[in-house]
Amino acid sequence: MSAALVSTIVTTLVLAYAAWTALAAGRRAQSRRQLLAGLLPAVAFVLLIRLIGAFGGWTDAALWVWLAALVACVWAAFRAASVWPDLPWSAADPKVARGEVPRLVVGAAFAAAIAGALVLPGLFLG
Amino acid sequence: MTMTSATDTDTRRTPRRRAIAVTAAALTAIVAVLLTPLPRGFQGDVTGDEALMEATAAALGSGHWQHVAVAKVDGDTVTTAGTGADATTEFEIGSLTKTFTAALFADAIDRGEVTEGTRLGEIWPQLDGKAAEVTLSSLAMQRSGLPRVEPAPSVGDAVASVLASYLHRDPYRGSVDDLIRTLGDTDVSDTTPEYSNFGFAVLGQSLAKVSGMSYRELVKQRITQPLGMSRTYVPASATGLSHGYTASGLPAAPWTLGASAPAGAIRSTADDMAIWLRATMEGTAPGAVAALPRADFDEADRIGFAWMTTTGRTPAITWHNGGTGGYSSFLGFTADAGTGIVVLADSAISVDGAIDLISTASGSAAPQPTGTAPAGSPSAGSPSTESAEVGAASARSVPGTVFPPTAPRSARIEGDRS
Repeated sequence: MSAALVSTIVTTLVLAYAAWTALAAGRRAQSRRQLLAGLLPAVAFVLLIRLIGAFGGWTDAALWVWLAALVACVWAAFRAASVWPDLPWSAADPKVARGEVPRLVVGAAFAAAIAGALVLPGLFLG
Repeated sequence: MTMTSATDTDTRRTPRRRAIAVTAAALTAIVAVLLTPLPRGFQGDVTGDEALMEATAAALGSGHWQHVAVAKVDGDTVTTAGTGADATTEFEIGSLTKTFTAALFADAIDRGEVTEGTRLGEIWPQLDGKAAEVTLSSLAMQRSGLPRVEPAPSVGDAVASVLASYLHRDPYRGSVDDLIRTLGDTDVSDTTPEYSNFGFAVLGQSLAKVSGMSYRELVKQRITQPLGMSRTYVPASATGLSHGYTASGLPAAPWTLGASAPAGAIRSTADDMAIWLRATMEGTAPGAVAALPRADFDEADRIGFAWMTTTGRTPAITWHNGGTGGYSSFLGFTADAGTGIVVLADSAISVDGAIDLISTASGSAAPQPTGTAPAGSPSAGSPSTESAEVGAASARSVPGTVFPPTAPRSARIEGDRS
C-alpha cells in the first residue's frame, strides 16, 4: 500500500470522525457545556487536517471528504445555535455534570494547540 | 428541574432563533471557505514572456499556487517568464542540488581525486562494516542500500524532526560528524535502486572531505564561479530568503539542511539555473557527464549520477525534480531536441507537470516523473512537505524531495522533500 493511499485513508477517517462528532454534538447534548465539548474536537480535527494536509493539486478524493466535513460543521453550527437557548449550562445529573468541565477543557486545549500551530509559526516567519 | 434535550427543542424554534442559527451557519461557512486552500492561479504580475507563462500555468495544473519563475532553453535561445517573480528571484531548488553534487563527483573523478569505486571507508577511516564498503558511484546512482533519509540518532531527534516537519520548519540538523556517526550505525540494505537523500548527503560531504573544502566552498569554486552563476549558493543560514509555502498555503521556513546540504540546500534563480541547464546540455559544465544514463533505475527510468532519463516520452527527457518544505522545482532537457526547462516555485506543490513543456507522453502508460508528491491533497501525515523532503526525482515517485517525515516525493529532497 502506497504512502499516499495511507495518507488519504487516514485523512478521510479523521475528517469523517470530525464530521460525525460535529453532527452528534447538537443531537445529544443535554447542556451547553456538553454541546461545546462535542463541537471542539470536531473543530480541532478539521484544523489538524488543515495543518498537515497537503491540498496539493486538488485532485485527491480526500478533498471531497474535506468539503463534506466542512458542510457538516456548518450544519452543526446551525443546529447548535438553534438549541442553545433551551439548554442549561450544565446537565441535571450531577455525575454527568462533573465530567463536563474536564471534557470542555481538554477539547479547548486541543483546539487551541492546533490553531496555535497553524498560526504562530507563520507569524515568526514574517 | 426538567431535563431538556436538543431534539425536544427543535419544534420550538422562533423566527428570531432561526435567524440567529442561520447567521451562525453563515459565519461558519465563511470561516470554512477562508480555511480551505482553494485552487487559484499564480499570484502577482506576469514577468517576461507571457506565452511561456501561459503555457507553464496550463502544464502545472490546479493548485493553491503562490509565485513561479521559469526558463526555457531552445538551442541558443533562453526565454524566461514568471508570475510574482522573475528570472532573478531566488528560490530553494531542493533536490536539484543533487545535480550539482553529482557533477562535483564526476569532476572529482576527472581530477583524479576519487574513482567511481572509491569506498566510504577510504575517506572516513572511522567507518567499518557494510557502510565502509559503500562506493561513491553507488551513492551517485541511488543504489547504495542507504535509507531514504538519515535515521534519527535518538528518539529525541526523531521527535524534533517530526515536529519540525509538521510545524513547517527545517527538519534537518546535525553536523558532518553527526552524519558520519549515524552512517556508521546505519544498516546498509541490498543495493536495489532506491532514492536516498541520506546517500547524497554522504556523497557530497565525502567529496568535500577529499577536496579539503567545505561543500559550500566546493560548489562555489568548481561550479558556480566558473560558470558565472553569481546568485547560486549553498546558504550558511536560513536568513536572506523569504519563506516559501506549503502546498496548502501555510508559510514554511527556509531550509539549510545542516550536513545534508548536498542533498538539497542550494538556492538559485531561473537565470542561473538556465546557465546550469545549458552548460549541462552542451557538455561544457564541470562534470556534465553526470547526466548521461548509466543504469536502469526502474521500469520507466534510467539513471546517471543523480539525473534520471525517462525514455517513455517523445523525445526522451533527462531530468530531476526537487522540493523543500516551501519550494518545488523541476529541471529537464531533451538531448535530441536541444530543449530544456527549469521551473522554480515557492510552493510545495509539485511542478513536475513542466515536463510537458518540452516532451510529450508517448502513450497513456507513459511515465511522468515521479517522486514525491508533496502537496496535493490533504493527506494526513504528509506535510507536504514536508517534512524533510529534499527529494528529487519521484521522491514522491522516485527521486524526490527532502521531505523527511512526509511522503516522499520522487526525485526530490523531501524531508522528505529534497
